[in-house]
Amino acid sequence: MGVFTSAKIEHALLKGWHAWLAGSFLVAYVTADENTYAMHQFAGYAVLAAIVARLAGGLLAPAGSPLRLARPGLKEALAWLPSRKGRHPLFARFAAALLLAVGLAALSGAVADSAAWMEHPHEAISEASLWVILGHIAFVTWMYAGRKAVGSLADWRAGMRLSSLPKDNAR
Amino acid sequence: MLGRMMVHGLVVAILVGGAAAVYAQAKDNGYLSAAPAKAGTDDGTAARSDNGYLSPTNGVRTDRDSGKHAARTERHAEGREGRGNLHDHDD
Repeated sequence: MGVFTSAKIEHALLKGWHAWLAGSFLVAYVTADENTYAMHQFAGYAVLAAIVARLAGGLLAPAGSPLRLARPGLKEALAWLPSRKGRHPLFARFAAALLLAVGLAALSGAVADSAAWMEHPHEAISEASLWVILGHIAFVTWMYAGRKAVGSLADWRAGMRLSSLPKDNAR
Repeated sequence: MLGRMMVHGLVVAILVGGAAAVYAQAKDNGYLSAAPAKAGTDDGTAARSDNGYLSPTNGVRTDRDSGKHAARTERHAEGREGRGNLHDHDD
């Protein structure tokens, strides 16, 4: 499979796919009203197409590629724990949970188009998938910005404490 | 990186939203419908006054104020019957 050659291109593809999924889900969620049903339908199928594209990409990508679907296992998580080096195992778990939740929401919406009984399960799955997404946002924000902010705050407090000490003691 | 990804998502949301709006408009106008509804064939047409406004009884759904779920379920059912989307207007 020589389709994906450069890691840079693969990362760009991944970011583009993420934007596609996030943008489409956002539109589908805010148009989930009877008056904007056609827009909801369009955005929902865009979400479904994004999920199908991701699954296809994950299957076609060569081993070691970032496009390859992660398979989070307990073994990897336990191996990560002592050193805490490398990618946090929750990233892969969240990715799998998101693919499952958003994929089910989109699929149930497509089924609800021809089977009205699926309407309520579709709504319930979509609400649940929103919480998974919010959890994902909170986790990623914490990993990339939150920890840094807490570290800076701790440094600042340590600096304040040092500067408040009498000069003789500080030496 | 986080901010950039959020901006990318919002840009795509605008693009998808725009495309969805065009799709909805086209569907509403009957361009995407295999069998578009003929104007003036429904009962509400008789009640139409020619003042340029649509009257509330003009073949339009009158259950808009009912629950969201019931209305959407009904709309799905209408889709299955092959009538496609609702045509909220007579043109």
